[in-house]
Amino acid sequence: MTGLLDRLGRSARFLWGGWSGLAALALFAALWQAGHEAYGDFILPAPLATLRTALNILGSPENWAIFIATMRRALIGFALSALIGGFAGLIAGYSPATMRLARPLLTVILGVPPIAWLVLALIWFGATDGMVIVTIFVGVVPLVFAGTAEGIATRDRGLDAMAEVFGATRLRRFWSVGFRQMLAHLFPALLLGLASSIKVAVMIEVLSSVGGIGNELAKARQYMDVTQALAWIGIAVAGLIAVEYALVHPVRAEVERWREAARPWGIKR
Amino acid sequence: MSSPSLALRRVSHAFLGREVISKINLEIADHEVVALVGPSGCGKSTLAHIAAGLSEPKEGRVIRGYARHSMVFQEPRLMPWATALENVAYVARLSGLSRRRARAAAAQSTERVGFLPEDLDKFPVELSGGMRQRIAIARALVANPDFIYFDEPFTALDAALKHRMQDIVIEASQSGRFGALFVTHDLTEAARIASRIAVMHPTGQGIMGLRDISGRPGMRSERELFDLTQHWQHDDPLFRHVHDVDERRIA
Ligand SMILES: Nc1ncnc2c1ncn2[C@@H]1O[C@H](COP(=O)(O)OP(=O)(O)OP(=O)(O)O)[C@@H](O)[C@H]1O
Ligand SMILES: [Mg+2]
Repeated sequence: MTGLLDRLGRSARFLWGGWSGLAALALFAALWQAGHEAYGDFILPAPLATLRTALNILGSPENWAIFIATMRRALIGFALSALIGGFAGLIAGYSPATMRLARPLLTVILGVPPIAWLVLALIWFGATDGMVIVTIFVGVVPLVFAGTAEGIATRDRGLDAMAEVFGATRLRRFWSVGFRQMLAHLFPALLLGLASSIKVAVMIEVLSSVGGIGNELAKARQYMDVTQALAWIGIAVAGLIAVEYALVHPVRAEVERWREAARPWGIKR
Repeated sequence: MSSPSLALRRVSHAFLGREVISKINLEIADHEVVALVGPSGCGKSTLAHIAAGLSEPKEGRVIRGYARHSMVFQEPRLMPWATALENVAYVARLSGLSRRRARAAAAQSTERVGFLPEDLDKFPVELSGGMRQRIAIARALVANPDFIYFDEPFTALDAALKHRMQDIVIEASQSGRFGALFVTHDLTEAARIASRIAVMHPTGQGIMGLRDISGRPGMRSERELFDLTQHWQHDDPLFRHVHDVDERRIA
């Protein structure tokens, strides 16, 4: 019962935190409006007009299908990267030799721009879902890998020794001590990876004809329709925020409850 | 005499090629408390970690005759994401108790070290240094070990609490519940709780000597303890370097 109340309390605090987010958005909208008034409709349509267009777009089921197509690709690419990158990162974190091998590789992979991967993937896979997913994967895997490996490598070995002295097996030590410490590095990497996945998905869709939000952006460019373009961009961002707040943040808040206690305002009891 | 609960035979260890302890011989009898003193950096913690199996000795042998050990580290080493109670219950769980029984055992163990129940749900960041140290002590006691490594466990506590913790060690070892290797800088503490005191070489080259402490731990009067430590510090050449360190600490 108290557990439930605790959790409710945390959700309430979280929602309360939403107000500051809303204030920031309002400020952003005000600046946008100012830009609109300075440069006119053709360069920068008004925020409210853009919002109305976006709502219009979302009024039709076909457009929802477009939105979902993009999100699906991004999320599959992201999930694959998180799984494989996370697993490889674990191994590298625990084995310094693997880490030394992986570092230069990582630099090379990160050094190649996503556009280059796109060209390769287009040649190999053609304009398919698989091509989009592979390109996302190549772009996001290094982020998750680095976050996980770093998290494991910089863990507090004192805690490992503590668990060992009290008789924890290797596996138990990993779950109870290593994994928990890795999460602190993993979450920022996952958030970055998620945002990158959606960005790369949209980018690929603009450049190749595989449908999705990017395709709509390409059309808007042809017709020089800035409102339409901004509306679709807004929808993509809204998709990202929805996934972030529905999926990643609740888990993070639960796992990192103690960090809350470490903040200056602490947990009131 | 029964077989020793811990025996170190010519144990040496090196960090990155630099030898920090060498040829350590030490034997601790069943349910005996041996205090280990020596200047800072001489290798006491290293020795305790090797004896507990946290690192392999480069040379020599460690023979353990006890069934289950635990340790109070020099630093509290609490898991920051777990509450005080969960930190203690974690070890009770490791010893095979069910979740509920582990929490009960943890609550009992924390009570024993004078930790207030209302602080049990706090995270380590919300606790004072002394409170953290008490949780670390409760954690070492919770699984009923028959041997405990204490690495300067009571340094963060005030005089009254320190006394109380020492009494726990004395009572438990006298009633035959556990033996201990007790690393400390405090000669009075060593004289109170141990039956023998071992002095380590200032640069880790062996145990320089051992002294039996007359009388049973816990039965020695304050007067006796004072006289004994005075004698050690002023008349016993074995303790010359331990004494040096104390002066360096004050300066
Ligand atoms: N992980 C390590 N890597 C390299 N050197 C180490 C390591 N741990 C300890 N040492 C060195 O080993 C020596 C002994 O250290 P140790 O911690 O055992 O001393 P100690 O007797 O416990 O000192 P104190 O009383 O200050 O706790 C020191 O010179 C220290 O620099
Ligand atoms: Mg030490």
